Amino acid sequence: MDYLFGPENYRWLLDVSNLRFLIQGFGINVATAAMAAVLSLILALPLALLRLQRNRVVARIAGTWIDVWRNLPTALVVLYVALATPSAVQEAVEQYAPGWFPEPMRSSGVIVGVVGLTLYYSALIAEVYRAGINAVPVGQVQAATALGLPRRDALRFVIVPQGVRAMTPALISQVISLVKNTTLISIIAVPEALRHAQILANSNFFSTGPQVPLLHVFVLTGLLFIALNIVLSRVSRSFETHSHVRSRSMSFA
Amino acid sequence: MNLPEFWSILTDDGDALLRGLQWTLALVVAAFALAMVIGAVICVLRCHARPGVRAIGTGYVEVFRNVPLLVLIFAIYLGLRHSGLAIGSFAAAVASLGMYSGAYIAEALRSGVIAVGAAQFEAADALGLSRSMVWAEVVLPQAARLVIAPLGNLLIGMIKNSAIVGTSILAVPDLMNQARQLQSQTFLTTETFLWAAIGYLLLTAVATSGANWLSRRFALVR
Repeated sequence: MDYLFGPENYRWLLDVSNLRFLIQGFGINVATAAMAAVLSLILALPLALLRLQRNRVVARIAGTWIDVWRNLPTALVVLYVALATPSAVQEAVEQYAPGWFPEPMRSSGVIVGVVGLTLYYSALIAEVYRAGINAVPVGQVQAATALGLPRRDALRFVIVPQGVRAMTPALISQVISLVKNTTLISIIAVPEALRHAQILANSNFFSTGPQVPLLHVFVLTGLLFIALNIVLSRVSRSFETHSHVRSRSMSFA
Repeated sequence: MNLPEFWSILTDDGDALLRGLQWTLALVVAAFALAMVIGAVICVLRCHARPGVRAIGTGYVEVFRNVPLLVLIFAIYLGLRHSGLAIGSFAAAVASLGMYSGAYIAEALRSGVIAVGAAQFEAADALGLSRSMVWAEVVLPQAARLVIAPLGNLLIGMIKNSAIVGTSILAVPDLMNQARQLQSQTFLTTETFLWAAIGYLLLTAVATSGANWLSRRFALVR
């Protein structure tokens, strides 16, 4: 009890550099999540369209790709991409990172983490796209065909615009899962929030008082993530109409 | 990828990988049991009449669905140990995975409870059953039978999340941990991780077929 609520265990919060250290690390998480989310959302669309092709061979190949990545654990994918990338490639990445990247993001770990997360989440999001496209009422598809629209135009002007609004809660749910899984790049020695929390817990970098209590540090790190994810959940909820069941309850991440 | 070396892993280190698979299985089974218990309790809290009790349930679900599993593992293992509570690695792994998944199971059960409907509650009340008997004997069994398919999906999600335990600092020698150790010894990255992937796909396939069998045997359809 004394450990939980004793005031000397909260003294480390008064030191601004401690909080800034944690939030710097959290910024890396947010940046990684943003890059991986944008890449996954973009790359999943052609993947989903390949899966929906009339050509059975192409559809089967795309389906197998999606199923393989969906069934693998995220930690395995991220760790494998990190370990399997040759060190020459990693050094090249660090050398040629764009100039406008801030300093902590130039580590190869961030880029490799983004690649691994994108491989995994593009497959998951492709499934969300496919479900959304299939959920558009079949009457719309028939009307488009009756108007003489070729299939590509029917998709582009009729089906996808109607499907996107319905899919948005599921997409945001996947983005929330992505934000949570960016903590996995702490295994590859990227200076992100969890790694910074460990450093803070292990030493007295910035404060000269008693040792920082471990539980409080990790609870605060967790609260940062919870805050971001709750904001994303509220955004997602604003897209749900009353006729839709809350879609997040069934999806697991 | 080197095919002879791929097969040589099976002969040289197959027993280590098999032990890892057994540890993963033990972890997932224990965590699923804990998560079902937590899920049932939180589901009852979420559906309580009093708003204060409902808020506790909602708070648990919001916190444990939005926190990353790795942060939870660190908080439970390092944080609780620092505070004096001496819990071991496997217990910390089971506790964190169970508490994390318990939030999702609570939501799944709650949708099942809503599907069971108020009529069952009222009928059980009219028969004079106490609140706990209403929940334990009438509502939760029906709710669980309605949501077997989503619970199967959650089990598969738990199998995948257990890999995070193997990559963390916890000294649980599960499949992911064994694969990492093997990779650091032999440097055959693709081959070892391919075997780990095969192991996880095997577990997922068994879980899927088990859930399908349960669904065919016990599922209610509303």
